[in-house]
Amino acid sequence: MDHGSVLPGGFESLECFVPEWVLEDTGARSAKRQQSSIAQLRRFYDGMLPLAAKALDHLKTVSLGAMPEDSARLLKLMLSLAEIAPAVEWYDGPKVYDGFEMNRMRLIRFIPDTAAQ
Amino acid sequence: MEPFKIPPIGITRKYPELGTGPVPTDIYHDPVLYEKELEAVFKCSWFLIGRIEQIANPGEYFIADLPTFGYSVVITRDKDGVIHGFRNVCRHRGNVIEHRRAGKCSVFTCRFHGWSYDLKGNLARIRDEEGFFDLDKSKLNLHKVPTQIWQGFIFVSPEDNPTQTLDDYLGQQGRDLAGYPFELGTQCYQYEAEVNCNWKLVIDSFSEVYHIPVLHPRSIAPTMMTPGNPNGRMLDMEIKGPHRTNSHWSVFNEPANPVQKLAYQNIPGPSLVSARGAEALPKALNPTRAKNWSVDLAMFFPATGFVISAGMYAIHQSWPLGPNRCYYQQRGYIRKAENAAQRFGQENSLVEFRDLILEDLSTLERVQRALDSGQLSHFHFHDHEVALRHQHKVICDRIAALDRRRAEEKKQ
Repeated sequence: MDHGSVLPGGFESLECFVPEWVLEDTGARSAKRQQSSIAQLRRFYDGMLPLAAKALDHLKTVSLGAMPEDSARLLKLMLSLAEIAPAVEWYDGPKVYDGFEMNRMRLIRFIPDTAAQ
Repeated sequence: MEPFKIPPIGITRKYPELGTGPVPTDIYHDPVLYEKELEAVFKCSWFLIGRIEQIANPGEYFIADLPTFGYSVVITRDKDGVIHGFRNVCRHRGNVIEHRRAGKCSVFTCRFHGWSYDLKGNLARIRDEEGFFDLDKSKLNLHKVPTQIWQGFIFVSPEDNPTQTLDDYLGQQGRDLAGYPFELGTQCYQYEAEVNCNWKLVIDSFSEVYHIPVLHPRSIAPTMMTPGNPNGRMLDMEIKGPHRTNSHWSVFNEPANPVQKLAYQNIPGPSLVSARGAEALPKALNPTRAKNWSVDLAMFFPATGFVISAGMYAIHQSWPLGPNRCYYQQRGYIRKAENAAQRFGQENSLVEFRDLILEDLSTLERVQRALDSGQLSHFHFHDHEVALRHQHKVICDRIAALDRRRAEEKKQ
């Protein structure tokens, strides 16, 4: 049941990221990373990181499938964080340093974001 | 804890038949040798194309491409639960009989002129059959593709009458890996790319870890290699006929990067950074029984590599498209998430493995340009690049056997 809260209680400060970083699936997230500047990625990373452990503690109490919408949004923010983390932590840029172009990789199958496994 | 001992030099000399000298690079670019390689190596092989869970129920099907051979196959499960494979080519005018990648149906109807086939590949109906002349319908069933199962993986042969059974092809390697809980990797992702390099360069990039501290300095090296194994030595390599397994250790560093660290704490199943769960593995994995074992590369010659850890596995395949082009497929199989936080761990695994591959592939295209332009006549392989030496020998032996066979045929 969605009671209208965008994110679970305690995560209000992450609401500003919801319009841009709650995305459809793995493919949409990797496209978003490639299209972003490192400054944009760092803003998202730096905003998420202080609450990331707490978000995972919350998500540990939630099962996939029939997730409340606010928890599902929080998970999707964390999935975006997983996508962009190497850009910040490894490469200091959206692309893999000196790497093969991401747009030459075809994503054939991926894991659904919130469905029961 | 005791510091891990760096594995010694000396793997190559365990296999004297491989030699230690420089190795010619011609099989990596020469078009004549490429044609012979297709004949001597690929046309008589079996190819992994999916898992039985993709068609768990009667009527389900999926399409798999065989890029080297240029056609796709339809894999079905019939009403009796039997799995079939056939070429995705209508016997009337050659359109595909199914254009969707996967689904469920009782008949396949070609979208060109409406001929239809059942789940066993038999011709079911010809539209306006009256207008055809003396058709022998028994000869117009779909072209069957030999399809066999190993450990839940579906393999197909491009030969109508395979030179060897799947079990014979998999050999000791197949027997040794049986019993790994492959079926627990229920969550699958798959990436593919056309890469401008010989198919072997892709295989080679998994077959040696000498490059890891240098090419992957900020991604995998800090958790697997450095500090402690700055030269990227592996534990051992075991040859099993044309197949082989490389065994790898890890320094088991906890990631210094905060998001990566959180992800590693939320990976379903035994983690990549702990040896937990390794005891339950088949004996063929971690053959040296190293406490700091991390992952094995179990190669099925020629071009299917299983990268297996205690918790997840990935399959890398490289399909030749030409002397200097190939089609790369990466499938990752991850255990199911027990909670929503582990979904984050799964996504991190997918992203890490993908970005790691992106680090490799650009280098391979540059190596190919050097080879194509004649810049490098020989490779000088390190002791721990011995897998590449083994592959080279197996291929050259197969090509030599083909040459002998053709010479004999000419005489007759």
